Amino acid sequence: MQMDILILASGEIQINIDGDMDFAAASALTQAYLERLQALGVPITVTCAPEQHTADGASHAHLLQEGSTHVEQ
Amino acid sequence: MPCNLAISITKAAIEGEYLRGLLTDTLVERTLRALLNTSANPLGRLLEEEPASFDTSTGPDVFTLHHEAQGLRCRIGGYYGIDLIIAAGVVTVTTTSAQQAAPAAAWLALVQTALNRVARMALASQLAAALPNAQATSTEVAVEESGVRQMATRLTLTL
Repeated sequence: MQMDILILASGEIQINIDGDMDFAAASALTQAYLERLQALGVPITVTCAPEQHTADGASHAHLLQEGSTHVEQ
Repeated sequence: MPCNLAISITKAAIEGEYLRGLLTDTLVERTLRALLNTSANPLGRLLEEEPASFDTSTGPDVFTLHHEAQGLRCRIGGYYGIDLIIAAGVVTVTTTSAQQAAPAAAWLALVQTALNRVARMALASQLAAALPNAQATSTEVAVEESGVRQMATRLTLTL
């Protein structure tokens, strides 16, 4: 399982999950991680519930890579 | 991972005050010294190229650091130099002549960018510590969101 976290200057955090699991499991894993951070005293709040990546979904940060495209779902 | 491989994407926010609070005086001073002690950096050359703007007659030290009530003050260039003041992670600059406007703006941008990056790196360390069994790597990346390009810290945790 790989968790990719993008930290922006504004303090916005984006957590991407990839691994051998379904969306529900990935969402639960993310929630558990956020709760652990809060328990450790990090003032983190969810601003957008876990979503699967779609081309026309809510905006989020993309790594700038040549040839990267959205996956149509 | 490219976002088209992500199973789930979640957005959250860390309070800005908390993020800036990760910039301890030690980290700020260390960052400034790293920037100012590098003779190869553009600002080091700036000091050499504009002797009229900076008084280097005080000796080999072209910058000083002082901890004051309003923050950390970094004087660059001696008596007629410029002041960078860093308080709560925010950089402000004052000058002693109009000729210093351009280099002062360059210093401010460079230092603020560096401190922002250091703050993100400090936060990445905290986020990694929440999963102590994960292999953690951290890099600086360029991202685009809603048409706006910016730099970000990418923390990868592998279990």
